[in-house]
Amino acid sequence: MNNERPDPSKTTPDNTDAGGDDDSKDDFRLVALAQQGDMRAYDALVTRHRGRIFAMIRNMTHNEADAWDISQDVFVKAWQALPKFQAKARFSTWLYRIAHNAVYDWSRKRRIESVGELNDEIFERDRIDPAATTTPSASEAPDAALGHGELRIKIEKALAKLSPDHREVVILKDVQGLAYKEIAEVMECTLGTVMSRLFYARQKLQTLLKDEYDAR
Amino acid sequence: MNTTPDETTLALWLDDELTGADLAAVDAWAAGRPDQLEAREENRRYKAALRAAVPASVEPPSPEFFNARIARMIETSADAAPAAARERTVEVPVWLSPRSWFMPAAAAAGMLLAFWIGSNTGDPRTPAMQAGAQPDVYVPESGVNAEWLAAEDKSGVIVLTGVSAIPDTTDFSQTVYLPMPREIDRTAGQGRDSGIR
Repeated sequence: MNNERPDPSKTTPDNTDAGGDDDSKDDFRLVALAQQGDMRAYDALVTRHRGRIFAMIRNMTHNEADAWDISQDVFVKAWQALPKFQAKARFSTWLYRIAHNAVYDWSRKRRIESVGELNDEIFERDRIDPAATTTPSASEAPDAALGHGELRIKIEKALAKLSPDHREVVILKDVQGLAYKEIAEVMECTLGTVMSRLFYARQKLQTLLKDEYDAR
Repeated sequence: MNTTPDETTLALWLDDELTGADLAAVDAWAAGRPDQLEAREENRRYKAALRAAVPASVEPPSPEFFNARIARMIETSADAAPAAARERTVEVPVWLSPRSWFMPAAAAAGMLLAFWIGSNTGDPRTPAMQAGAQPDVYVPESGVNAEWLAAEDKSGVIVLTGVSAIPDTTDFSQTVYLPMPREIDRTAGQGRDSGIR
């Protein structure tokens, strides 16, 4: 998160009409060009969406290097599946769905590979230097670091303690700002399931954060 | 709205997802319920705090390389172009159609030309080699002699004499790249050849 660059071109369903804004129109225009094989148009799409996809995956994996690789895989898979994309959903929602599947595959593969090997999860997350980075990244502005650094670390620790489904629904809803309906599409479940997961995830998250406040 | 909204509608209202008439109806219902209004405000504060601390968008490290690597992965993959582009129908002239008379005729002409070239081309070796003469061998270091030994099958061996011994202290790992098995696996299986780790 040292390289925070909020994308002003992105909007959330909280304050816009999902799928009807100018950004979505631009996406559809670029998608149409990319579907004809225009790599420059696809490169523009990657540039527009890489920040959100990378942030979502990094929050899910808690590993910047893996998030870097998985994000790229997402865009390669999206390119390969681009002919199947239809303008029924926002392009970003479609990308989130591919990212959801990629993270699921990554976590499943990681579980398989970790059998019989040294499991790095045995190390307590609290003992890992939160300032350590595995890839080069630009420094956060000093004022932003002071303002958000501690709270961010606490929230990230709390998010890490949630189950993957609960963590994802919080990230998609409360961080990425997707609508309930979009989250249901991404996670391939019903609207009721999304609401239920979010309800319990928020409760647990607030409890975890309250505990950390009380501990200080 | 006099009736209590269902759970789904209420959840949408709490998360500011309702619009138009639906929003107005629930707003009217909640007007006399400070607990619901407070719950919505609390939800807004929670989300604002979360979004302030955890950004929704973070540029990946080395963003230009990020894009370039994606482009390279796409180019090197079998799906170098989306299926829609691959499946585009292009107007092909009749005389270039594989089913026309042109392709078999062109193939036959090509075979005849290749046969003629093969039967009229001489020995590619130099005249000196054909005569059995030794080729000139140049060595880059003075005091080193090179001797050409011709074999019966027209191949040859060059024997160098006077070359100084290679010191035992020479570290070949500094001059030769020896990929580790793990690196080979990662490159072949995952396409993870980045040097950023």
